[in-house]
Amino acid sequence: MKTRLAIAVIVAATLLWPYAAGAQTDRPLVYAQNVPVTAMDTAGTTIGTVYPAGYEAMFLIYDNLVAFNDKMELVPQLATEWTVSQDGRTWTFRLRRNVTFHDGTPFNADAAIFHLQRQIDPQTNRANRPLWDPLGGAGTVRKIDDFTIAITTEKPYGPLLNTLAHGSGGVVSPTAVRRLGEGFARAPVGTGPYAFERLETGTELVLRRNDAYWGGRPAYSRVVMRHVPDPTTRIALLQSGQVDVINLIPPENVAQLQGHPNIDVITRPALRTFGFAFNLNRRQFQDVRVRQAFNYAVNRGPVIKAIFKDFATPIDSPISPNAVGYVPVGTYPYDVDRARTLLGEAGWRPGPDGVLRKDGQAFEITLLTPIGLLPKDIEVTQAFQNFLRVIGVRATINRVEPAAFWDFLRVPPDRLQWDMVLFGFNPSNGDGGYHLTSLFESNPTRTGPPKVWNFTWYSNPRVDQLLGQADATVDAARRRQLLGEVARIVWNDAPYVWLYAENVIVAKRKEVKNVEVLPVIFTILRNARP
Amino acid sequence: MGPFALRRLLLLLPQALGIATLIFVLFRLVPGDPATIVAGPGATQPQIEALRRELGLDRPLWAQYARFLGDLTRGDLGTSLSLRQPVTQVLAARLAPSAALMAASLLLTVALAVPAGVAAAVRPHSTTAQVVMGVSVLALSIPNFLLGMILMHYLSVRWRLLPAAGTGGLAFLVMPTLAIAARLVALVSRTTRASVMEVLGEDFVRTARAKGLAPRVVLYRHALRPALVPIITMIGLQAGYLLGGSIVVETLFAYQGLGQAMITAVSLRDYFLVQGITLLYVVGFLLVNLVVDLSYAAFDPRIRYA
Amino acid sequence: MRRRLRRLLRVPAMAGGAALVAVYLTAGLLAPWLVPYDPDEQDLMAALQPPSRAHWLGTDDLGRDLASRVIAAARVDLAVVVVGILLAVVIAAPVGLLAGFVGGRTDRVLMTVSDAALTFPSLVLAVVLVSLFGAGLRSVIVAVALTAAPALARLIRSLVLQTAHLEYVDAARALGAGPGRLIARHVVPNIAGRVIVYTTLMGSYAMLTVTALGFLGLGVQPPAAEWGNMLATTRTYLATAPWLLAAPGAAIIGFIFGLNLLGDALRDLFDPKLLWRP
Repeated sequence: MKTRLAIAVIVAATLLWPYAAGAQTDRPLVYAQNVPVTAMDTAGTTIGTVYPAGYEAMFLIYDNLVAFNDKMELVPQLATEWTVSQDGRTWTFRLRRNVTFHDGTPFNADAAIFHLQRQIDPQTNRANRPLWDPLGGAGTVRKIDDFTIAITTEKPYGPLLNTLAHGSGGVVSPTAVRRLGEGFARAPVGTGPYAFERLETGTELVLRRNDAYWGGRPAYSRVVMRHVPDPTTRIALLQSGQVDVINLIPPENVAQLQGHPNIDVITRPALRTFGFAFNLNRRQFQDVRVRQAFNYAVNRGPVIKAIFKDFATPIDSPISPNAVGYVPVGTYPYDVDRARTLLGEAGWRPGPDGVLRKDGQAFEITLLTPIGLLPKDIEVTQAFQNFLRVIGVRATINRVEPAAFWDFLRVPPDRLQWDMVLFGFNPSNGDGGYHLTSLFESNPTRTGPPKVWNFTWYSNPRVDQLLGQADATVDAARRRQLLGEVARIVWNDAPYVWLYAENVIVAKRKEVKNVEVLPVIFTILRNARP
Repeated sequence: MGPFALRRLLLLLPQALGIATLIFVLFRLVPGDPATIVAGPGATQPQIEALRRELGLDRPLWAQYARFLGDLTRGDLGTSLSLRQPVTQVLAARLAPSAALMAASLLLTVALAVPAGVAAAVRPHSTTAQVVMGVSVLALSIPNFLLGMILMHYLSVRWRLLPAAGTGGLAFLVMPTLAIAARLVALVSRTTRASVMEVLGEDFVRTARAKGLAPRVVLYRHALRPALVPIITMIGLQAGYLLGGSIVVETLFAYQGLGQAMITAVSLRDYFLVQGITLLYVVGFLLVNLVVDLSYAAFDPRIRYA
Repeated sequence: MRRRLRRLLRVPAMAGGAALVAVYLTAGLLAPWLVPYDPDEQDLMAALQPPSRAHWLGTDDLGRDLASRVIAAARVDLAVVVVGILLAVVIAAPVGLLAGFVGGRTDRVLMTVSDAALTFPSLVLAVVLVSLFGAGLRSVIVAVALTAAPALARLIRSLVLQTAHLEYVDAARALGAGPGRLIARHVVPNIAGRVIVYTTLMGSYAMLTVTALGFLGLGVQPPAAEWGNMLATTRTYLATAPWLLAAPGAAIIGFIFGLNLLGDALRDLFDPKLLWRP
């Protein structure tokens, strides 16, 4: 009997030992994310990166010319100082010296120009076009000396620095890009504090310390970005101390984490605003009264209270109150009678089963939503389905996997497989003009996918004109006025059922310091330290 | 044993061919065709056509089948679309963790279930016997993911005894193993009890007893060996559950084995990876049953294969 | 036969199992009339209420009555299992009968196919089917059917082989009964009992597959209530509102427990030597 006991103890000890030994001195920093990092190229001919995981990795691998701090102020990074000419068209940047890329390539004016031209040229970069198009043709960037460059735009471009600070503004090694071609996205080389080590798509990305980092030796020998799709598992991993930082925390778990002695919860209002987008190619949605009726049918207060536990704010503009260029433009109070009246005016009358009918057609639509990609996506969609049921619209939910979600949006108008979709856009340069342009500027052609995220296929010449004017306006007050005008028109045209702006909720172990959470929903680990 | 083993091994060939064929058929039954899955919902018709040519899907079915078999014999399972590396490489990386999980589950089963079943058989009305039977009924009724959730909540989140999820040392194996093996432990201990009770009543055991051998010797030398046959059969029958269970449990515990890779591959629409992992699972099933068949002869003195 | 059944019902395990399964079947069949509330009716202001007199299992995260949802889910889960297994019988019966009765090359071909199909672990096959044909009710039913069919076909074949050479079958054959008549009049009634036992044993395994798929998000999709997806979507409430998980969890355990009791007792009744457990 004694031997058996001894064996049991030994077995138990062997089982537990590796776990106990995990508390080494040189631990990596481990960040568990809801979506995987798949690609890490700042440019690219396909939308390869998964949001926000890809950008969060890129912010560690690359430096930008200028960057946002956690108050969304613009600060120097690879550019040490800059000036703008009187007419607002020419920007001159002094570059940091003695910086090398992880592959040994020196950083200088040639490298910066290579990067900028690659971003600007639509042939080499199809992503984030509204940010880079206003910089004009590739000839706009020129070298002044080895550490000075100038950018001259055709028209003044107010948010130029915001573009440079955006995730797609990370400066790439020209040698590595030329050598690897398409493969660069999976073996990126930058100048940032952590260098690429290996990627197991769908599982984890491992970065190693860049010992030669110009900004001082980074704190961790390694940073691991692990894909853990399930929020409960992410939380359990954080609680057991196996990971240091986790993102996308369900609001219902905040109180429980706040009560934990070794865990900090970081929450702040984000720039991402949510809504259900209409597929405006559908006949029943071409009537603005129907779209407004849907807006009146939603009771936003209980959604925010019950589903978000108040970690969200109802919106009164298509863009977030914290975005540059915001002005409040209106509200759609909860008013079922008004919704019914508007639908009646549009010719929709309830049938015997309570479902609305027009010309013998029942009002039946599909709602597309991802699972676990957007905060409380499936819950919000079910609540919305129920609000629609009340006004006599029968909606069917179509859930898709996170990785497949974007593909359902980026298709030509005749290939859209949904009637309404839950969507949240985050102007990751902090600028409301970028937000409005990405979602509401007319697409140049109906034969291809939308140019940016105008997958509702909304088109209003007045909006296009005002957005053009706003892009060319440097004066902040005047620009705000123009963007406010756009916001008002779009709000009343209602290509979306406007819902709320989220709060980003991130949690970390107390012993990890300097984890920065930006209102643009990125968690930045470059300055994190024990 | 020799000729039997040889014959049994030869049987693997037609089995493998049958499985390859079935997988070929299954993976080409896709509405539309595989190219539409691979291309994704955003693809245009010309893109799908191009992909179809690239994957050889525009050729006659028999040619595709021949090519599929040819690739298989060369060990070419295609390229993972999401990982951009050969499927075989992915499988190689993911096989070891899953195999460890399967082995641990089997070990735990044998270590726990056989003694429990024997104890319950020897004294059928004792408390031990009743506890074994009661717990096993409960263990049979609880789905592995529910058991896993409960284990994670208590053993890791509440009591901090074990890592919550992930792959690593032995400690990471404990909860996934328990979650998968619970059903098997229950079934095997019940089977053990039944077959030991049956064997204990047979003539040769009674003879042994009458010869005055110690009860313990009778039990281990004479009764347990033949009783192992139904136990092994049960393990063979449950191989499918064991392998399938790894999909759920690995996903739950973010354990980086084949099952988790399969779910990730499904969500990334990684057609060839899903196909490759399926093939590996089926091969695993075949091998387990091969071992089961071969061990019959080794364990039951009465069975001799001519 | 009837006396034997009555005697068996006196065995507590058998009676308990039968009663439990009957409760679930009744709940499933009568769900639309049994539910205290509309299972899809939301009241966001009344979300996450603990069990009370008005909501005796509480309300879920969207303020839906949990008891109603668990009952509605019983209907969905049981329907998937029952329809799936019936479909499996429809597929397996002709194959098994043909293989057993005709024998020879037909037998070899059919059994080779079903043996190959048997090597697919059922959840693996289910995940593959769902990934190729899309998640949802239909895929899950097909998955249940296709994973159950091969073993069922094998069983039917072996039962036919045992039956086909019984004396009275031989006698009927000698009297000139055709194969169709033989099968319908003599073979089917003879093996039906065991096939039923077997499908009962399969039911609990099928339920494990269905709820596992739901848990993985590949099965029945919300807002339709299904035990597996209820557990998956409310996992985050384990610490704060555990009743959300306790209810569907207990429902699954209870059903499988009852079916296991019943199945084991039936097996002892019809086929004590049958070791096979799906």
